[in-house]
Order: sequence, then C-alpha cells, then structure tokens
Amino acid sequence: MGIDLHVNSAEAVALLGASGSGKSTLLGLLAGLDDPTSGTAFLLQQNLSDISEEQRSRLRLGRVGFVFQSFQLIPGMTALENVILPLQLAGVDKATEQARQLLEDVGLGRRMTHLPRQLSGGEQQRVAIARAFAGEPEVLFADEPTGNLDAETGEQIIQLLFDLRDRCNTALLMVTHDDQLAKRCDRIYRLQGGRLSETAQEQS
Amino acid sequence: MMAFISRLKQNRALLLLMVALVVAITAMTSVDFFVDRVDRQLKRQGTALMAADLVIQNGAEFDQSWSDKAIELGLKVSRQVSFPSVLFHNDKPQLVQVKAVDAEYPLRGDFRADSIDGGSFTRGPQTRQAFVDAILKSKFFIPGREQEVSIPLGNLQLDLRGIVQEEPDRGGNLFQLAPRLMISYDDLHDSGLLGPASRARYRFLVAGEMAAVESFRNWAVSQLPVGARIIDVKNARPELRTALDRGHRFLSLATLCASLLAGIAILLATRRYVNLAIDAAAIMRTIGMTSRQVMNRHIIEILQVLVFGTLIGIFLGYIGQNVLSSLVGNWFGDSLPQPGFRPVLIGLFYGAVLLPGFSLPVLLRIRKVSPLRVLRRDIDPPDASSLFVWGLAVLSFAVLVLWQVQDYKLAVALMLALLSVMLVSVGIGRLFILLLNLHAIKVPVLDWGWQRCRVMLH
Repeated sequence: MGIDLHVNSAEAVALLGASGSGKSTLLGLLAGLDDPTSGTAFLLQQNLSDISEEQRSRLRLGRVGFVFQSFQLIPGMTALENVILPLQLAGVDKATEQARQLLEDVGLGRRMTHLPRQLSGGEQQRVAIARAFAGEPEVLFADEPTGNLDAETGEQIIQLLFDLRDRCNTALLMVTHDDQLAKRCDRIYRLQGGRLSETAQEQS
Repeated sequence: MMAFISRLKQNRALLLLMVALVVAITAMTSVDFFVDRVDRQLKRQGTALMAADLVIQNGAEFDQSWSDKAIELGLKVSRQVSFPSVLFHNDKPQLVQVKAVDAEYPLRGDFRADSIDGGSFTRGPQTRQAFVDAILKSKFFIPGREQEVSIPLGNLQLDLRGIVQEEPDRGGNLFQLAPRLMISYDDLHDSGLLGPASRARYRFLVAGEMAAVESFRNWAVSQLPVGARIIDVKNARPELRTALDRGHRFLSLATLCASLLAGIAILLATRRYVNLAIDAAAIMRTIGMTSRQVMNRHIIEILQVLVFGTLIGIFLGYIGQNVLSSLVGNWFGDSLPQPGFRPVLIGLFYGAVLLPGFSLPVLLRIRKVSPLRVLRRDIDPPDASSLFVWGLAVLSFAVLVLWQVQDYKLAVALMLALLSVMLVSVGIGRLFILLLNLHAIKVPVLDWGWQRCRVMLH
C-alpha cells in the first residue's frame, strides 16, 4: 500500500523524508527489527514474516550491519570489544586481529581500549562503522548517521562509510533528511504522507 | 578472572551488586565462624569435663560385654564408681564421697594430685593407696608425721599418698558437698562396702574417634539398662549450651536483618544493572544475538558475581570473626579453636539463595528486550510482576530465616514482625502523601511503594 522498495546487491539507496514521516520505521521493518501489520518484507531473499524474531537475529548475524544516529555502542565495552563482539558471534577466526585492523582503518588505533563514554561523538560513530563492517556484511542499514555530528565530522564519517562500503561491496539503505548526502547514493526515495516515491537522481 | 575485574571497573551497577552480596555474606559468615569456634571450644571443654567422650552411668556394675564392644570399636575404656561413705578418725565421723577409678582414668582432661612427699600424680591412686581433698588434709595429717597417715575404709587400711588438685569430671553438683576420697577401682571389692542395695553410681567411660564413639553410643542405646543414662558433650554443660544456642539465634537473626537490607540493596542494584543491560541487549539482538545468548551472557556475569562475591564475603567473614573473637573470645576460657569448614558451606548456601532470590525476576526482563529499542527507546521490556519480584525475595529470605533459627514459630514471628514494620512504614508514607496533597502539592500515588515513584512538586 503505497510502499514498494527493492534494494539490489551492492546498491546504495537513500531514504529521504521529513521528521515523523516513518523513515526509521520503514528501516526497522526492512531490517527485521519490527513486524509489519500488513505487507511483506524480504531481507537477503528471506520473507521476514515467515520467521521468528530469533531467526531474524540469526539471519542478520554477520550479513547485516547497522549505523545509528545515536551510535548505539555497548556502554560497558571498550571500542575493541564492541567491534570484536559481532565477529566472535559469527565464529570468525582471529576476531581480535580483524577488529584491531578495522579500528586502525577508521583511525582509532590508539583509542581501542577506551569506553564509549570516553570517546567523542565522531569517534563513537567511527567505532560504530567499524562494528557495522566487521565481517563484511551484504547489507548496511544507516539511520541518520550524521544526525548527532557537526558538519565537518559528519562529512568525514560519510566519506569513511562510503569508502568501506565500496571496499566491501555492501548494499546500503540510508535514512537521512540531508539532500546532499542522499545525492551520494545510487537511488533516492522520498517518503511522504505514507507513500514512497523515487526521486530522479541529478547527473553530476 | 582479569576479564571479570575489568567488567567490574567498567560497570558500576555490577560492582554495586557484588558489594551488596559481599556485605550480606560477610555479615552472616562472621557470626557463623565465631559460633562454630565457640561450639568447638564447648565440645572440647565438655569432653574434658566428663573425662571422656561418652559416659554411661548406671546403678549397677557394667558387665564385660561393654568393655568388649568398646575395645572392638577401637575405643579407650575406663571404669569408675562413686558413693557416699563415712570415715572414722580419732573416733570422729567424717562424711566423704568415695570415688574408685582405674589406671586409665582420666581418658580426657587433666588429673593432678600433689604427692605428700613432694611429687605429683597424673593418674589415680594405686592399690591400697588413697588421695583426698585438701579440706581433709588437716584432719588426717599430724605435723611432722605426714608420711604415716592410714585411712580405714571398710575392710581396708589405705595409705594416704596424695592431695587432689584437679579432677576433670568432678562437676558442680550441688548435692556433692562431701570431700573426695579417691581409691583404686581394684580395691573396691576388697573394701566390702558395696552390696546389692548400695547407693553407688557406676560410670563406664569411653574415648576415641568420633565415628567409633557414635557407633558405641548407638550400640549403648540398644543395651542401656533400666535407669541408666548416657552423658555426652551436649548435656555435659547444659547451661552453656543453652546460652550458646540462644546467642547464636539472636546474632543470626540480627545479621539476617542486615542481610535483608543487603538483599534489598541487591534488588535495587539489579534494577540498575538491568536498566543498563537493556540498552546493550537491544544492540546485541540487532547485530545477531538471540535472546537466549543475551540472557546467557548476563547469567554468566551474575554467576561470576555469585562465586566471587560469596568467596570474598566468606573471607571477610573469617576476618570479621577474628575481631569478634578478640573482643569476647576470652569469655569461653582458653583461646578458641580454629573454625571448621561448615561456615564456608553456610556462606555458599546464603549466596546461592540470596542473590537469585532477590535478583532473578528483575534479571529475566533482559530476555524480553526487543531489538527495535535501538530505534525506539520508548520500547521497554515489560516490568517483572511485583508479586513475582517480592514473592521470590520474601520466600528466599524466609528459607534463610527458617534454616538459620531451626524453629518455624520463631521464623514466622520474625517474618510477621518485619511485614508489620514494612506495612506501618508504607502506611506512614501514604499518610504523608495525603497530607502533602491536602496542601495542594501534587504527588502521584505510590502503588504501595513497590514501583518507582516520582514526586513532582508544583
């Protein structure tokens, strides 16, 4: 009913809309975090309505990454432990070495043993990006990734996010209200009044 | 271990939970360690006061089967008999309490008699010899002729060889006012004093390994003649035993009240821990952990708190009892013996009941965390039912109280008293709220204080 969205492998899609238009709700439905009252959502070729919440968690493990506006790091864990966790869960060998490398890649080689509360917003989002790309996921969901950052830091974070996405060949669905940021994606959708419409991408 | 210490540093709610548990276990085990030491001291004193580990007392002589059985079990055996008699010295009568002991006496404790020629004895008199109390000394001894005193007893003339100074099983019998005359058990029959109706008290003493003594006691119960009785450390000094039991109950109840406060601290600390864990659980669910995996992770953490908190509490309890011992330990005579392992087991039991009892229902909320909380922070897992939370806490506490006092009437009385105090406190609180509301200060009703309350003053 008004919403029909397909994100292809390795494709970057931006989801624009005003506050309260339902962007994050749609992201939650597509990621299997929430249950639709009607309609069907597929993630990695799996009909999410056919599987339980526990099965959806297992489906996401190692194949889906997340970056949130409020960073959502685990407060009692260091930066390194936050990145190690999904790798360990996925049974990756040498999880610690991989996590260290990812944190080096996002420029936090010297802040690995710091707790989230000891890091700045930009640093926390870098850790979140490192965690999201741990295990090279097939899909990345990003919910307003620069929403809590200043313009300069936000630009650095977006650059980092797209660099890693290109390296891992990951499909991206990014919720944002920033038109400029949306233009970096392959396709742009706008959610308005409960309807989703594709916006023509300007040729640069 | 290092990872757990690191977690405690990172998570203050977890540290608070552990501190609450340590306080509860320390309070309980310090009392238990101390009582265990006093109990061991009383047992030690009790056996010394009986001159044996177990005594069978009868109005007639014990036959050979008693010795055979005790020796078969590897126990040491001693026989004695005591009865009142009258001595005549210089035609004056003197009431005495005769005690005939064999060469094995005493099996426990110390016996000492000063020899009239300057030495001392640690065993009873030999055949045809007698020891007396110091009070009789002046009556029998003639200055300058101490070596030549002879005491007539029935058909015998006994040489007075010693003055009794220490006699372990003499006791404080109010009706035993007559001075002691101690003779050899071998002289008993030759004295001709005892006949079939004599008022003699025969005692059969055994000592040895605890298990062997217990076996002998079981055998003795089945063989006990009519009118005979068994004396052991439990009834050797009933006045001290009763005082210890009452003291133990009082201290245990007092520390249980401290534990109740610690239990409530555990509950509050668990709430704080869970509130932090809920956010982390939502993130973990999002990145691929199942609710069971998330729950297991926290259960392992709480188990670590249980193990380390209990062990630290037991250790501090051991330290604490040393303070108690240094303050009041000398009330019980010599230095107290070291405690046994029982208080450690008690500490482990407390931990195993107290922590789950006060934290489990709140902890189970973590299992119900939805991953959607990462996008919508207003989605809280349902609160644990108040009935479940407080019901399990009260039940755990009741188990500890009942187990500690071993008296269901006292346990029920204590629980009712605590409940009354709680209800009165809640009643007073509600009265205050009512008064505040009357003065136009809006305060929401507190749901009997179980739920979180927010006081909003306008």
